[in-house]
Amino acid sequence: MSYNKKSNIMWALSFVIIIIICLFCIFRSNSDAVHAEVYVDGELVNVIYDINVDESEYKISNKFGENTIVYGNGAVWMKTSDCSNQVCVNFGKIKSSGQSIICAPHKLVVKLVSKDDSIDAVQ
Amino acid sequence: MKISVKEIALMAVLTAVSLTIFVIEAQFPLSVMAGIKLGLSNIVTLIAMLFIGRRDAGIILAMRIVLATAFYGTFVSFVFSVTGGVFAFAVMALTVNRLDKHKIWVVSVLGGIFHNIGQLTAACFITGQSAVFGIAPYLIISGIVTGFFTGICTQRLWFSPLRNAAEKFVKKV
Repeated sequence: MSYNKKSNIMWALSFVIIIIICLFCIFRSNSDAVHAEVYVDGELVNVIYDINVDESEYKISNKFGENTIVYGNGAVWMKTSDCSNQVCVNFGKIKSSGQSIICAPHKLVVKLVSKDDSIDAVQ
Repeated sequence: MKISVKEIALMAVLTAVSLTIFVIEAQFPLSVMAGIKLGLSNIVTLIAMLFIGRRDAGIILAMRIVLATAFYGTFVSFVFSVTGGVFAFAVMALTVNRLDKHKIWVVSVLGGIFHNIGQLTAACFITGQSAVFGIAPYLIISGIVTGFFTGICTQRLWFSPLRNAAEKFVKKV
């Protein structure tokens, strides 16, 4: 064993630190989301103003395809999508601001925002 | 650029192995979170890089992406594969000869991270939303974990008795 074990441990440590930083970023973003913004092809098409309600559905269909977004109790998720890869459906629920569900084949993005950084706060 | 027939055959075999692993892996999606997978076919890319050379590894990777897209993919999945592949290959090709062979796993982890960063960049361009970088922490963690796993596999292969046999074979080529 002549190789430099120390530098191996240094590499491992630096990766562990990166993981810890990432975990910190994930848990720091708490559930403060109120609005859900829906983008198609980079343009804002709709804003769900309150996601802290009973479960409701929002259907969106355009030339790219059809998606059913479900929101309620502070969470948003993609129920159905007729896209090719179903990544958005399998993505699960999002709850905190800054998170987003992306359906790349349909160029659809559902983004959660808090009260402060939503569109109407700017306007 | 001169490629012998034997080299072509060797590359074809490795491409076939890589493609097979890729296809089998696609049948068992990790349901923890969409878009995360082990990237086992990266083992073949890394092995090719170590045993044959970086150029051939690049050709094998490109062939695998093109063939996998031809069999299963769509245009969007092709764009994701290419950006992920290019990012991962670039960073692995730059680091593979600078680190000793006990740090193959480091090369693989870096490849894993940059593969996911590349895919995020593609997602950013396709959707026109910088918000996609919100899931970057998840993808960086998955890149490190899966890269570590495939890297350890590659390193085990490198330090196994199989290596002598493989190197003799490659030298003959």
